[in-house]
Amino acid sequence: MPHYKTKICMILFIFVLFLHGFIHAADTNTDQADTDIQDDWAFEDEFDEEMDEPVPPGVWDPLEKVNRCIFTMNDKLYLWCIKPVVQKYNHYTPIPVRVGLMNFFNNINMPQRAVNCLLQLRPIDSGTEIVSFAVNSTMGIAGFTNPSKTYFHLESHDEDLGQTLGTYGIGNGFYMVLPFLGSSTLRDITGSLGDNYLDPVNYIEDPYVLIGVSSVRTINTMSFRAGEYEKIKEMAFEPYSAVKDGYIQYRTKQIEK
Amino acid sequence: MKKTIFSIMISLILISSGVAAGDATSELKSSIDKVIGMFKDKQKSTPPEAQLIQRKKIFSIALDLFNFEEMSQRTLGKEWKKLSDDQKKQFAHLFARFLANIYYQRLEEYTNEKVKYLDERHHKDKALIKTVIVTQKNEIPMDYKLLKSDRWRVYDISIEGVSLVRNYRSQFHKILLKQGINDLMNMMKQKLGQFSDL
Repeated sequence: MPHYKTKICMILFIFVLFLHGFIHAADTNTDQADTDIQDDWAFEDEFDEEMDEPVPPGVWDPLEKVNRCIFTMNDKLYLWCIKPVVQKYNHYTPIPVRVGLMNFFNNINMPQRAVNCLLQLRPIDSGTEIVSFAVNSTMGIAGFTNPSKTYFHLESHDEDLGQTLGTYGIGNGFYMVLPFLGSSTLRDITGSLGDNYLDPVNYIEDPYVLIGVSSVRTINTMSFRAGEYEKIKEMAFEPYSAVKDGYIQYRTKQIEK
Repeated sequence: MKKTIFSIMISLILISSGVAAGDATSELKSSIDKVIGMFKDKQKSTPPEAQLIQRKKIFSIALDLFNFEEMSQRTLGKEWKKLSDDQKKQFAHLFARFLANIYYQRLEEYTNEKVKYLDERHHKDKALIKTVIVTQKNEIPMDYKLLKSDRWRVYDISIEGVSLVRNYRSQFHKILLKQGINDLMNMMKQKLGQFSDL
């Protein structure tokens, strides 16, 4: 199984590198990100820029038709299956338990953050992640509380391989909507395939336990975002474009950090 | 000795916080506080008529807080120049009400989250104010961009790095490609429903 995953990961990675050069022209978003890093205060020209751009900066979306279909499917899936489950979960699980579980899963996800900090040549941040892990796993009662932040003021760095690739100058490639998982781009899906190897949950051997733990993690994460999607839809005139643009802007910001 | 060091430190903190809070921040803060204050009063009694009055009041504060015309221009980008004066006016009118309505709905969910004002930066007649909203679970970064006219008014809000103006611009762009400005304004009216003439 892992062997097969490596292959996909490799193929996609090469694909991204290959596409990158020639997508660059179409991908105005990356250019903007670069100037933003230099000076996020460059808004003296921004106004005129905004007024004169014929097309708002965005992401290449060659699969738009397919993406829109999957988007609609995910929408129904959310409303009919995920939302009711999350509502029940929230009803029976008090907030401290949910926060505890969130802390626990965040804590065991340390390898992803530490490795990606290192790959971004930030050894100190990487070290901080390891120290936080040590503190939280012991003092923090197996990671259910977060003393590294509350007492030692160590900030966690939410890094993933998609962001790492972004800092290497690799653009989004193109936008895709994945069944169940939602928004992604070629770069970010490649990244998350790599990150899977650093996720301890994936090393659980018993398939039933694996599915159980993954489900709890997913539902617990969703429980904090209950109602968010509905709000986005309510605010939007064109939900597909709103979610796409939101995702791209959010990721761009994360990469800048 | 300890006392002097302590007092120096205190005064340094006071000075630095004084520097951070410029006039743009204080104007923004006072408007936000005003609105939040109204919502705290509201929670005691909410008959539907009182709600409408409150919406109107909040809209009048929102007019002080946001520069809706600037927001309309920026969201339409190049398309703005193609509109007739009448269309410009109508679009700005609707978009203002639409945004104010969203703002109202978000405030209704307000449950004593604290707003921390972190930083204020200036460039010519513009200012950027960085804040975070502290919730039970995390801190949500929220940046305001302001433009100085007779007073500081917000022309863009970014939540977790996602700019509201840019997001609407990508949506409107898509709609205007396929349909016209009139369709877009009809969509707005539909979304606003009874609140389109606030």
